[in-house]
Amino acid sequence: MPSSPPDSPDANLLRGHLDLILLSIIQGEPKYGLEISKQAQSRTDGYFDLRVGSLYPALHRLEKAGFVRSEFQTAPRSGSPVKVYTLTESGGKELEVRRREFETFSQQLGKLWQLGGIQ
Amino acid sequence: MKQTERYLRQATRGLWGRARRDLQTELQGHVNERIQEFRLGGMSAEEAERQALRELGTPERVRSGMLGVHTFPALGKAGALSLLLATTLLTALPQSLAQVKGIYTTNTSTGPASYLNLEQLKAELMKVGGKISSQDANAVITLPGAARPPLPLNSYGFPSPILSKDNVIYIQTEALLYALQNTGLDIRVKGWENPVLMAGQSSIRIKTDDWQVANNLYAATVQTYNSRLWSGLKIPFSLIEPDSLGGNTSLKGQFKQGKIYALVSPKVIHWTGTDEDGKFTSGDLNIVTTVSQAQAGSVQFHVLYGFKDFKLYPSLDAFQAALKPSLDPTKLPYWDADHPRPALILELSGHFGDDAYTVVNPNTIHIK
Repeated sequence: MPSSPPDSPDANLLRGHLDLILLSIIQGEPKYGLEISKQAQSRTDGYFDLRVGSLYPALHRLEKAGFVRSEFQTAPRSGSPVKVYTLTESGGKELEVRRREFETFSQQLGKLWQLGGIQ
Repeated sequence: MKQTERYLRQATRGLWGRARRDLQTELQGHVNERIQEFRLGGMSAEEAERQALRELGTPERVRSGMLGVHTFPALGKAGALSLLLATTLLTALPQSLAQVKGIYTTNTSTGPASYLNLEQLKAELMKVGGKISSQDANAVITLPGAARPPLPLNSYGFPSPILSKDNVIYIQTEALLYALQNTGLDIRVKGWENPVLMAGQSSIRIKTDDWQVANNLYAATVQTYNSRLWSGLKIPFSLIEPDSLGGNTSLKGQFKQGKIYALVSPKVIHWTGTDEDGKFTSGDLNIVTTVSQAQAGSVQFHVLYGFKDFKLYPSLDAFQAALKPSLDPTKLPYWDADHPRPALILELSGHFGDDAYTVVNPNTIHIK
């Protein structure tokens, strides 16, 4: 049976972790907005379907915070200028901090489920 | 591509200057790439464009997200509104007041700035269906037709936008402009004597006998909201002490009757501050913007005492290039007949936006 994509996360859950998701995707190769939204989808089998309307404001916010930097490059297909985002050093650190926070949070929550009898 | 153009305009409305241009280019790149992909998949050009825009979501959503990110040049931390404001807002207001008194003064909270009578401003706003509300530090201005929720008046950088003078409460004009700007309404200044501030369909008529009030309003259209003038060299705009521009200079040329022009030039004054990244920064130059209304064929500007020996440049880039040598921190700039002070003459539209000014060609100007 082909694996069907898991249901999309609750909108609030997604919003709350948007920065973590974006930093995780941008890590590594520099990417432009369209690539970022596509990778969010493809690497999670469609679980993270980022609305483009909230993607760009979030990218600009991350840039303003100094976690990513951007430059215009020429896009492969259309030849149009696209803005390519790269993780900065402080962005790398931020990603690490948030990742650990998230893991800890998730582990601790797991303990509550075990105690409550949910497996 | 009409649809895309409209989309880009709507999605970036309320942003100015480079932020707006960059975002339009970025979104256009996204759309173009997506269109190519859809076309490779066999869609028609029209269908591909429609589909690419549909994916982006509503322009309103992009815009409201972006306006939350890009405010205007960093002006420091917001301070708390004076308690005096709360008192004033609770006071019943006479309905018959027609105009809002404007004054230009200086105080320890804001430095030199122009101010508007708050009580009269509230009355004027009520007439057009708007209001200034709330009784705490987050007082906000609401105007009909605004696309997004208003910003508190105290979002502007100085410690307090409120001034009490001779038992009258005033609000700093630039704090008002800043709040209005964030509503997404189209903002424009009209006229010179008793200028009118337009915000969407609403107008705030200002009554003043001090030219520095109008000077401050028009200077704001090129300074506060149009960062290209500022960002190239990172030289701050000068806060002009009341009545400090005691000299004057006259220019003849193809000036249009009733049009507003600005003379932009550097002055030497040591300053320190923090940049957008919060890093310490300092320098020895300020940019002074002085504004005036022209007669047919001539305009006279208030300038610093001893202001002479200046050279007009035909573009912002040329002006900035001419200023570059003066940024050498090891020697103070000095201007004389052989080394004239760089300057620009701008024709102002009064509109807060990309079209706030055009540089006047120096070849059409004769310095008296």
